[in-house]
Amino acid sequence: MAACHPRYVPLDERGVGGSGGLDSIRTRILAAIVMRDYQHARDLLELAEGFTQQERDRLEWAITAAERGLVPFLEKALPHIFRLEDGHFPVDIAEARELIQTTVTSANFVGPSPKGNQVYARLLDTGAQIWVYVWNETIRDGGRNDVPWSVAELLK
Amino acid sequence: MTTMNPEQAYQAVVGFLEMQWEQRPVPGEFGLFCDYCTFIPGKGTKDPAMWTDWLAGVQKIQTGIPVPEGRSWLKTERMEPLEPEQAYLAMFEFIREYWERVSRPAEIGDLLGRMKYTPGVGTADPEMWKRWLAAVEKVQGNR
Repeated sequence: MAACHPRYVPLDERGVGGSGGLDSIRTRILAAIVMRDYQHARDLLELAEGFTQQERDRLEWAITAAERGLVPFLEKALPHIFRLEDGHFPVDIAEARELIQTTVTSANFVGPSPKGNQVYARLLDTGAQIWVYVWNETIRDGGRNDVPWSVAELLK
Repeated sequence: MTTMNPEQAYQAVVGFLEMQWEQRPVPGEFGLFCDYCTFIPGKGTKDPAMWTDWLAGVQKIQTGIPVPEGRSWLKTERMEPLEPEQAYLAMFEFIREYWERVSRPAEIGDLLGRMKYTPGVGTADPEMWKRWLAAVEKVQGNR
C-alpha cells in the first residue's frame, strides 16, 4: 500500500537548485536564526534576490519572532496549519504567522488537552478567536474560529 | 450491522481512535491527531478542518474521486449512508491523508500499516477490525 502513495516531499527536502538557489538561501537564513545570529539572517535576506515579497515578509517575521523568543512552528506542520479550510488561515503569510505565534503566551494559555497538548486561545477585536496547539515546544496546529469556542470545548 | 450516516460513522472513527489511544496514552503525533479529531455535537471537530477532511474521505470512497482543498461545500445530507466496511475504508483514507500532509510521522504510519484492509481477508492486524466493529456497535447501540 505504501508504495502506491505519491511521495510527499517535506519542505526541507525540496529541490535546492544549486548552492545559490532560493531554498539554499532560505536554509542559511533559517540556520542563522537557529544560531541566534539575527543580524546575519537579515543581511542574507537583504542580499537575496528572487524571493517574492510574501516570502520575504515571512522570513523577516521569522527573524523577528525568534528575536522575541516566540514559540516556533514545526516546519512539517505548516501544510496542515495553512489551508483553505474552515478554521484555518488559507495562506502562509507573515500576518497569519504573527497572529498565531503571538497567541502563545502565558496569558492566553487555556490549559492542557486530555491528550497532553498545550492549548492557547485569544479573542480578537473582530470577535474571532485565534486557537493554537503546542506540543514539544513547537506550534503544531492553529487557526481562526469565526465563532469562538468556550474553554470547556477547547479542552474537551 | 446496519448502515451509518457520515456523522454516525465519524463517531465510530472517534471511538476507534480513543481505543487506540488507550492502548498507549503517550502524548505525541497520534495524540495530536486524536485531539484535532475530537467531535463536539452541534459544534464540529476541535480542528474544524478535520470534519471536512472526513467528509472528503467519505466522498472519495463513495465516488472514487479525490476532493481538493476548499472542502467546506461538502455536506452530509448529500452523502449516502455507509456500510461498516465502507466507513472503515473512509477512515483509513482520512488518516492516510493527514499522515501525508504532515510528512508521514512514524507513529501514525505504524498505525496505518496495522490498519491496512484487504477485502475478504481483513486487516493486517486482526485486532484493528475487532476494535472497529466494537466502535461501530457502540455507536449503533446509542441510536
